[in-house]
Amino acid sequence: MSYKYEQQAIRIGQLLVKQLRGTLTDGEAREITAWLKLSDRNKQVYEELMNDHSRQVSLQEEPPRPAEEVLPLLLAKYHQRKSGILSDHGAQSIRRIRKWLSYAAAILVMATVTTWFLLRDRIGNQQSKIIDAEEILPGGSRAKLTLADGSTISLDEAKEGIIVNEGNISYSDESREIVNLQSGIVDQLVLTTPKGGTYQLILPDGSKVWLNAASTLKYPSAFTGRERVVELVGEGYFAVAKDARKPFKVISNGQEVDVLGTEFNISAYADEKEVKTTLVEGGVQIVNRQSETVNKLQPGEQSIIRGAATDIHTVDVQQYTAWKDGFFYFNSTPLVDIIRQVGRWYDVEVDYDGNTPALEFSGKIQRSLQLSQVLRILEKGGVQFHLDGRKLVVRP
Amino acid sequence: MAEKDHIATNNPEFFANLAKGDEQAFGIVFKIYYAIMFQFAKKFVGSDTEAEDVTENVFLKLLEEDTHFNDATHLKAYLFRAVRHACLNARKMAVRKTHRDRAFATWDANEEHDYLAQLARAEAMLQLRQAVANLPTQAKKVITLTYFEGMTNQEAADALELSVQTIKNQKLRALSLLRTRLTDEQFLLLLSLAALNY
Repeated sequence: MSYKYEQQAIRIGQLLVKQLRGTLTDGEAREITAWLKLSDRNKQVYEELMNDHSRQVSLQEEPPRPAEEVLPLLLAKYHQRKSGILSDHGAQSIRRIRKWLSYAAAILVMATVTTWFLLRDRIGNQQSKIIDAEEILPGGSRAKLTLADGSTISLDEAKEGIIVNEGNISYSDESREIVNLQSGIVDQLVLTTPKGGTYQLILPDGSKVWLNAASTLKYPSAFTGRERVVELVGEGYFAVAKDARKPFKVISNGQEVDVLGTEFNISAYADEKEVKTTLVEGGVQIVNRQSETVNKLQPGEQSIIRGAATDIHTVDVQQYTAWKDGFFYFNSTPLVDIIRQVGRWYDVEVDYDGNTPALEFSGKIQRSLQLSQVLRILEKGGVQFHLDGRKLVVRP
Repeated sequence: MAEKDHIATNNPEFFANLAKGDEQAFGIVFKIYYAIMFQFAKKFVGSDTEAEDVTENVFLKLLEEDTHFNDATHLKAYLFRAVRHACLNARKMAVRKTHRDRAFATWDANEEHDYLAQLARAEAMLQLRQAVANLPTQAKKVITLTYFEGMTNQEAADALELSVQTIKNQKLRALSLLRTRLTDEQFLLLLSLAALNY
């Protein structure tokens, strides 16, 4: 079989690294130029690689389980197949059984979450076999404000939000000023939440942003231009103040959301390869910056951007916005996604012992519970957890 | 090119072993290419789970087949194409299930461009990743925590259970090691990491 095109692309990849090293010959530089003319995709890849920041972000991307962990499982599967224990057909039926199990688990969890609140005192008194280490408390109101000069201020954990006024930033309950801003100068400011932290922010135009855990919002101290532009990494819920003459834009990993006045949630974590935008009310326009395609969302719809692809579908909106009201809300949500949310909120590192269980859960859990309480609820669905310090091990 | 990649490139015996289904040879290939093939798959399928499935199946097939490769480029070309085909099949299955999303049903000229562009990107990322993988262990730990994960010296010290002074020393040692012993790529990489961290 000939792999002509693949081999050409591999050569280009190697030349691009040579370009980064600054060791390209003139001839090689011409090869790259010719390649760039072939397609816009090539240009996008080129720009992404030449940009220090986006290259570093890509370099930090890792599969959910490292190769060292997957290899023994794969070899085991190979031996099983070779000795005929597990045919392809067998593997499929196992998957089918697991799927049914996950439905069963979902129903069970729904019932459990309902009864949980009735039983919580009794359960709370039981000694858990698995989790009796130091209690891990839920996240809270935690964030850091970074000013234009790079200095940072840790925000008061007793407060819930800040407000950017003309001339200063204060807590949103107006109790006190946090920092004085020089008038007439537009500063770029950054609000950052750690794992286990959320914070609210009222922008100079009155728009309100809820920032979920492990997230960053970049915004100016005043919206002076023709557009209101902010940048998000992580997850945020936006209630944008109406101003038809000044469109509001949220830029996040590979997408741009253009709005006039509306409410929506964006989830654009660096460790998730998808950017999800969920429209609660009003209308927004989603620009996929890689493919430059534009899509409009209706309330109740969600767009998912993966690289150049934009996928739009109808969702249970609560599932994506419940966090701002203090809940985890699951509707046939895969266990992996749940654990990722839990890890971010309780600031624990997650590890999978063996296969990732293919379970789905439905239900609503308060984010104010302690980690052990949340885990005990999930355990009813047939997963096991082991907590070692701040490391959470998930077992099928 | 990075060292580990070279093992595979310059050793005909290695490829003979791989064709015979030698698990050690396979293990080396898997550890070098798994992460990058996963990332590559992730560009074409929706979820991590799907990308994992696709990537694992491709490697399983490699282990089961007795294909003989001429060199590392040949092997990589095979893997990239196999992953792409597997992703395409996974999508077809998904479309059959839902019918709704016509965009997923086709693999047109744009997709072909996308495939080759992503392939070039993946190869470049592979080269850069290899450079990190080849750092000495201790240096890698300190550099990873402080540059990759953005930890302060204090945080890195806590994580590795070392004193802050030791971290500082390790960093200095790593840097001088890097300057004298590392390949150009590794040094370049370090510079670009430093740029990220201001």
